[in-house]
Amino acid sequence: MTTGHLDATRLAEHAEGLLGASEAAAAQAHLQECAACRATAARLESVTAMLATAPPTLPTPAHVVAKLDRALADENAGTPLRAPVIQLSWFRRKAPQLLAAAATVGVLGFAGWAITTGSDGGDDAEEATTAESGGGEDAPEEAADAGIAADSDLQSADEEAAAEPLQADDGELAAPAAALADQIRAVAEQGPGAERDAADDTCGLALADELGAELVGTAATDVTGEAAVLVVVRSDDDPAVVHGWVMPACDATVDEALNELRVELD
Amino acid sequence: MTADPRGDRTADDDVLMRRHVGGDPDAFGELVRRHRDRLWAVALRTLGDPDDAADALQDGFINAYRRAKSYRGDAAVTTWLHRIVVNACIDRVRKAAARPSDPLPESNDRSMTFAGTGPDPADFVATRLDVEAALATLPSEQRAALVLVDMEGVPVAEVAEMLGCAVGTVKSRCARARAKLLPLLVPQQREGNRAAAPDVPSTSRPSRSTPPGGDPR
Repeated sequence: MTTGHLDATRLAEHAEGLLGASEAAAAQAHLQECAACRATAARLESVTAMLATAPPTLPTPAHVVAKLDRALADENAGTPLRAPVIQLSWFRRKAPQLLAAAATVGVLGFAGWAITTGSDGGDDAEEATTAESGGGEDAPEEAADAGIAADSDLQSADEEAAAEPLQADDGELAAPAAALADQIRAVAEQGPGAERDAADDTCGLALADELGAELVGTAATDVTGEAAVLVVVRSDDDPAVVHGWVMPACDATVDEALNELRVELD
Repeated sequence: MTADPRGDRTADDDVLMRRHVGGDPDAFGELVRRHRDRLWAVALRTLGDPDDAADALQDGFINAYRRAKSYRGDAAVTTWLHRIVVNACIDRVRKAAARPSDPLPESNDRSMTFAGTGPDPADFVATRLDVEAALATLPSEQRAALVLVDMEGVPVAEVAEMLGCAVGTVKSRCARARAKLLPLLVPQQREGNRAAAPDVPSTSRPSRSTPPGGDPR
């Protein structure tokens, strides 16, 4: 009884026209006289029908929704605090003087960040492309406009950066900057020396000394997307203002800073 | 809340795309909310594993986010998104296929844990709820071909292009996959019921796909 029957795979291949001419003819001849194989063939059609009529949507699990939301928030924030070259080339030389003018330095740091990331990652790419492809005489000027200051351009970079904060401060902080601000506040609230063990006592001191500022505290941070040390310092000018420096290591200096954000404490 | 991703919303997809390209930080999130259930279904069915599907869905959406400017409006936004997510899934299928150390039995094991069903075909009841679980038992390349052809309605030639194989290969994978799904989705009637059941060949269900070219009638 079983010898002549076609198995499901054979029947499915037959339905797809995959069998050679003689095989197909034999299969067809068998189907005409075998109700069991015809039934199997019909069931195969039902498989396709079931697949075709399956609901077009399935409820996305909550953890997947959360994963998507996180990924989108990261996208919206650009690559936050990740490409600090623009501001560093500028503020590493200026940092001591700027910190003396505490009301602006943090904002300037943030402005540099805002320039590098912007509110729309896509636009940045376009601007970058424009600057690159503009070639000729335009490109260097645009670079300077964006705050990329060659040594001789410090003055114009100053002006650009000073103009930017109003814009940056008006809007809400983008997610990573807001997260960094929260961490900075947390460190400031924790107070000096809290939960710092002896081994860590020198953490951040190199930076604070260099800046001539008071070390408020330190914490580990990954807000920039990679493990870093957050060093929070306060200048003498305004006790309600602290600066969070994202540093690659505890003993890193201003030259190595990854980013910096000024935060007003409540 | 309807299941229809194009339910009554204030702005249509094209408007959201324009707002996203124009810098509106909320526009793309709304697009994701509208289409994710549809695309989650595609990803889960194509990949057969919820973790892989979640990764592919994220890859697809992020890709779409970044490439939004290249969207020309030739196809509907939903079609465009669908294609990007399908491509993200295919990438994973092809990578898995290129990795000999990732044997199929392992992916079957994982699928079983997600399906909540044992590997015994008798545990499957032929209801729609089991389509995903049944698909998860297939080898990944067969599954991808079958989902795209039978569930997503992608023409065989396009699927062949996506998967980087011949048209005949796609058909063959689909055929073998249907045969494997047969006992899971359309189990044979029990002997006792068989007599009472209507003559099966005459009840051929309305099928979206007409009998393919091989049908000699």
